Amino acid sequence: MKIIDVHAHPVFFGKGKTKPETDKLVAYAKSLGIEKMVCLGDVLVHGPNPSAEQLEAINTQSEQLLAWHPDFFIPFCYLNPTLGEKSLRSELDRCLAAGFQGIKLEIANNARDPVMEPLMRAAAEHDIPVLQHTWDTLGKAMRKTHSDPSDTCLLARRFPDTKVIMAHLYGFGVRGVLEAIGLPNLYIDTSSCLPFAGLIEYAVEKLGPDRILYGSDIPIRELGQCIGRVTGSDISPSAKEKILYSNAHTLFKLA
Amino acid sequence: MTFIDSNLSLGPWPFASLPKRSPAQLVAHLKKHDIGSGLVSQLETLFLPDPDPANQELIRACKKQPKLIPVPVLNLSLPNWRDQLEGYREQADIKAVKLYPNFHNYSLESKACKELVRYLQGSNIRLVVNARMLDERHQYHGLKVRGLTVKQLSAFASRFPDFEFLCTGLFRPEILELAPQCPNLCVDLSFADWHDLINGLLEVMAPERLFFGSHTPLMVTQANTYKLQASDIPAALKTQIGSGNANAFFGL
Repeated sequence: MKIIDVHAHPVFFGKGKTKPETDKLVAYAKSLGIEKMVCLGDVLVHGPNPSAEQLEAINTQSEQLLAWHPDFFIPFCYLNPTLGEKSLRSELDRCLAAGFQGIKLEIANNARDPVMEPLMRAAAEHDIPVLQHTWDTLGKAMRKTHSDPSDTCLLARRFPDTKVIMAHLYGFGVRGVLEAIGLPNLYIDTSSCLPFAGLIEYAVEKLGPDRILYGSDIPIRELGQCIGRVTGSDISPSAKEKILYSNAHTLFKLA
Repeated sequence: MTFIDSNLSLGPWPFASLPKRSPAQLVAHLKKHDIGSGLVSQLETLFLPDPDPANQELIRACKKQPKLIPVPVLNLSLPNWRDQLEGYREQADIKAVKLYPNFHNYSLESKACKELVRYLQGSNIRLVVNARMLDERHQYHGLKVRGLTVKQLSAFASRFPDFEFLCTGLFRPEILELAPQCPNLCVDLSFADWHDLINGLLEVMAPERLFFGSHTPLMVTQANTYKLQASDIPAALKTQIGSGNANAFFGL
């Protein structure tokens, strides 16, 4: 069983940043069949609205992980769209030169906000995916910064030339799956929350297996649990293989 | 490794499209995931005003499926819970009873709880207390049932310090907070989650207090079996948590 994990935080609130810790994680992940892991950075260590300097420090940490394990980690550049085009272009260019392969967005703003436009144009220019934290915000006072699935799907609709990964299937649920119908540039990842039954089956039924990517959200989750929720779901072996591996392999144009 | 599942349910759950399994189908499903036997309760008992008919149905079903160990649910807000329990004991070798205090609207501090503990202390029947059925963030908007709190469970455990009980459905931070202050508390791992989970829990509690629970059918069974199978702990410890602790605790 080969796996690519598209949603991981190997460093989380400072824990996991040393080489021995990183080596241990990589060895453990490989023992479970994980060939590559997207490193999204220590995204909440400086709060929801990090400064340019804080982003640079977080991304430099991801760069370090890449240097230690270049064949394992796929780092994404963590950005804050509210800092403006000049700032985000500068940090993105720096990270892309270092081998980063995507953009990570958290909760600095909502995906519908106009500040997203320069970032999405930059992503399209470089042909890299944008992974957007997404959660079901219905009835919750968090919409200003937490993107609802309807917000993230609107983002994908507005920028059809940019690939968007809508994070947290288990956070946006059934409504998010339905919002994702008919958006070929939108992917969903299986990360976060607990493995409640039926959701992967529902996503495959409504979207097909080609736009679903395995993600764990470690260290908040246990890798075995996250893999088991896919391998133990009632979908075809071919669909499981696509979700766990080949969809991400294609998305990242891996050899 | 063959598991003993300490957190199984049968019956319909109204808020999700879950696999509908007969008792025989549940046994076949468990076998597929290397679960040799399990302690099972009826989900309908959470919603019916009197859990007795669903408990009776469960006991009848388990007689035909000996791999399923019936765990009747007692609603301690009803006046006849003791009579019901006596009735179940006449029909089957009851290993445990289960409480859902927040679904049935009574407190762990209630007089009935105290009476139940006294009753169980005089028997060989174990107590399972369910803290929650779902992550509260994702409950159906029309039915929000809060989980039991650390404070409630801590008070209950302290009130009966010589009485060991199993609590299902606790999150990892709750276990970490409760474990040092409640040495009589055992937990299932179905809701506990974090990278290198078990090694982290073992820093604050002994391994005999950790139980495998899949929370089938609400959770994906294999997510919880593989969580333990893939954990970075010695094989003997996996066996102890996967089956040994439940075997000893419930006297299986």
